[in-house]
Amino acid sequence: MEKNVRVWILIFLVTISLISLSRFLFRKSWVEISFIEEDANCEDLTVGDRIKKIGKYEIKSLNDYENALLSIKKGETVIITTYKGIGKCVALNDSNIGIRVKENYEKILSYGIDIEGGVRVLLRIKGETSLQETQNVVKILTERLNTYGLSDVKVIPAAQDLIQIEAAGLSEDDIRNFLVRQGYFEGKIVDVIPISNNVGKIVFDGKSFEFSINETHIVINSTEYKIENGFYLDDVKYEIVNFTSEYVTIAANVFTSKDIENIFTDVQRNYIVPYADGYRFVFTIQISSDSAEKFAKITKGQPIYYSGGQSYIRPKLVLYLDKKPITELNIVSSIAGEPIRNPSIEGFRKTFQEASLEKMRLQSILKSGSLPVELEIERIETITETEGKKLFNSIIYILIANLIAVLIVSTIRYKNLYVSFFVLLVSIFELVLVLGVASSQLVGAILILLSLATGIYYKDVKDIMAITTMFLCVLISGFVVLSKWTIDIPTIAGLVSLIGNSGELIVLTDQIFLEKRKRIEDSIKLGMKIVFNSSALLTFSMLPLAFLGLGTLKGFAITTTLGTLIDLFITRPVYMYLLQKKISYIKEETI
Amino acid sequence: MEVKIAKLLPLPIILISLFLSLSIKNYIDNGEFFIRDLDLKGGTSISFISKNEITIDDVSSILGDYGKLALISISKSEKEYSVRITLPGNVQHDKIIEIIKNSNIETKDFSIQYVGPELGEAFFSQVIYLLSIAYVLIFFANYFIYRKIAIALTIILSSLADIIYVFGVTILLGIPITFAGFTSLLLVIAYTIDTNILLSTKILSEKIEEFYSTYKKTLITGITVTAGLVVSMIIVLVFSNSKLLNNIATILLIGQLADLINTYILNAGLIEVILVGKKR
Repeated sequence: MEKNVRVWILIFLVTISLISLSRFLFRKSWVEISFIEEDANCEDLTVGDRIKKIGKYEIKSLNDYENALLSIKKGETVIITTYKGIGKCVALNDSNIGIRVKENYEKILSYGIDIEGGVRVLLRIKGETSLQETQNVVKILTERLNTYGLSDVKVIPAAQDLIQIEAAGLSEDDIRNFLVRQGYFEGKIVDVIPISNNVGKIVFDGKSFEFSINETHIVINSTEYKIENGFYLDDVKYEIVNFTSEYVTIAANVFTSKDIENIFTDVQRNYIVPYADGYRFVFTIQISSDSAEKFAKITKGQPIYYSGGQSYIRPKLVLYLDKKPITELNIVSSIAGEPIRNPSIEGFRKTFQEASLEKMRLQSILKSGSLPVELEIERIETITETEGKKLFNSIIYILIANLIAVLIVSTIRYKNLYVSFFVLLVSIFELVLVLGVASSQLVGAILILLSLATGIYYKDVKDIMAITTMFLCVLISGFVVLSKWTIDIPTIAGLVSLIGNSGELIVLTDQIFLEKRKRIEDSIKLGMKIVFNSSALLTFSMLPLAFLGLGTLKGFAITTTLGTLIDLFITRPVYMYLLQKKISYIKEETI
Repeated sequence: MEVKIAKLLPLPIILISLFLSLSIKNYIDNGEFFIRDLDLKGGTSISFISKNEITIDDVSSILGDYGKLALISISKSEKEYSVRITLPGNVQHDKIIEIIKNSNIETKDFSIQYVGPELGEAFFSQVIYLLSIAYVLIFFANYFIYRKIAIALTIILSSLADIIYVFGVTILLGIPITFAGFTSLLLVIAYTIDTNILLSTKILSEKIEEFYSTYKKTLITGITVTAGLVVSMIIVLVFSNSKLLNNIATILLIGQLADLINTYILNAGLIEVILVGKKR
């Protein structure tokens, strides 16, 4: 009766695993926005939005999307219904609304980039860091990559000072020149002031202040400041950038990254135009009112000069990214003394693509904010989709090969089709159960709870070692319930180990076959003791891999311990039951 | 009572000494106990598929100055050639890819791997640290099961001997161990535990008079279990064209064959000496 219940539990678990895995056949697919082109004129649409309809056309595949575009004419406003809401785009050309899409599928099993293809980057935080700071960096990098237009990005802390990023479509140049940039943004008003006999005049809030300067100090308003520390006028900090006998260059801090409140993306304030022998990009930002007040005070009453029929004040607004100037802007005299909140950022690149890329990178960095730490690249791995597919096919071979090997060896060894069939069946069931858990956290939770319940109810765990083993198995396997399990190389090694472990079924079978003089119960008891002992040791050896280190071998530890849990409390008792049912027959056989 | 298995002990001892010497020599020459691949050592690797027939010399001459530093390997699969270029340190991947793309060879599927030297070292020391903790835990669990320090030590010794064999044989064959290969070392440890527990539990459950008959039965079971794994690894090596899986299979194959010697001669011999010695 007891064993019958265990058989039904196994059948139940295999059934729910198969149901979960069968979602492969009915998995949902959709079309989502993968990229919005620079010159696109779209509203309320972002990368990653799933498209439901274009105009009146239902969109379920790339074909539907392409067919829907065929009837669209240049300048036409196209209504795009997404699962999030309604957006619209003005067609740039016939059949072109300026967005790129891709077909995506519901992921039943989540694969690592070794199989799916993509880029894996490991970044190290320079210097001392705290867990909270690392999590903050993870948040900023995720936002930076999402703003950059990459969907399906995984940013996870691999250790206190290591961050791992997995993404498709990230180039090496993106990593070096965009991702790891600290992104510390500053807007400063820089002025070159003439001096005579080390004395000059600085204009602030419409008033003129005389100062004297030497190699080490500057004296202003009767207060002496060290050159390297700069000086303050009201709440504005000035830095001394350069000093000669004729000029002193000063920079007044107006705003930094944290003062940026908005980055405008509409076509009027965000564009690229041909300029000289390349392209000029421009976009406008909004700074805080405090910063705008500073701008007004610094620029008010500044000396004016004329150029090309336009009057400008002498100081320039210079924008810096990571201490390097990226934009130098002349300030027209009409806005001097005004609290300007919308300065523009400009840049120049030789090609349209380069200009577009740089603009998008700057906007992404400004939107996500600056990183509180410096990052260095520790590891870059690029795996092509073809390579991933090749590996996936090899994995299928390796698993089938293992099952065939189990069948061949057990057939040669026992010359008994029942035994070979049972061994093969149990190995396949174990594989199905592990993959079932990988496909659904719910299946994982049910399996772990049932293993625990049957193990306790049927008194499989009798001593402290068995209880500890069971506790550790549940603890390590519990990872798969808490978060979606990604199948990576160590996990695959674990799956191989699982099938290879069917050797333990051979141990149990041999206990019955080779110990003919003993009572079956005694043989099984010893067999189970061997299995429990080796499972205990295996689980103990997996403990450090699951909880310590870089986490790179966690997949192996989880698969192995989950396999042990399934083995000990679900499949093995059923195998012994099936074998016992045939025992009288087997005992008479010659081995 | 005469010892029988212990008479064979010189065989595993000689093999351990031989492979350990190879490992130590490799450490003296190259600073590492086995040949570490890029992901455990640090460096840059660029892989691609060439549709044209190509040799190592061709790639080296295309790379110019980079060719002098590069370690190039080429393998043929169907009508294509998989090329892997490994360079020390952090080189400009884009430049090298551009050089290759501008050459006469028709290429596709470029993939890049860069591992910082610090990370390679950090990862390696982490793995050693984790394995050390794992062994300590195995020892205590073992002791708890058998209540005999000597038995707990023989299992650890047998498992360590397997690893020494793997290091030695891979050095002999010039096979670098990758990160994936390292995971198969964990598998070797897992399987070793299985076979050694089988041997120890069965022998210790029986009377000393039945030592040899129990040993014989356990040996048959052990060979059957190992045969299953060896056959499956040979199938993988024959059919898989994935470098990662081949590395896993090679190491498992070496480890499994080593385990037969270490469990059924080294460990069994030591248990025999302990038990027969006690009986005397």
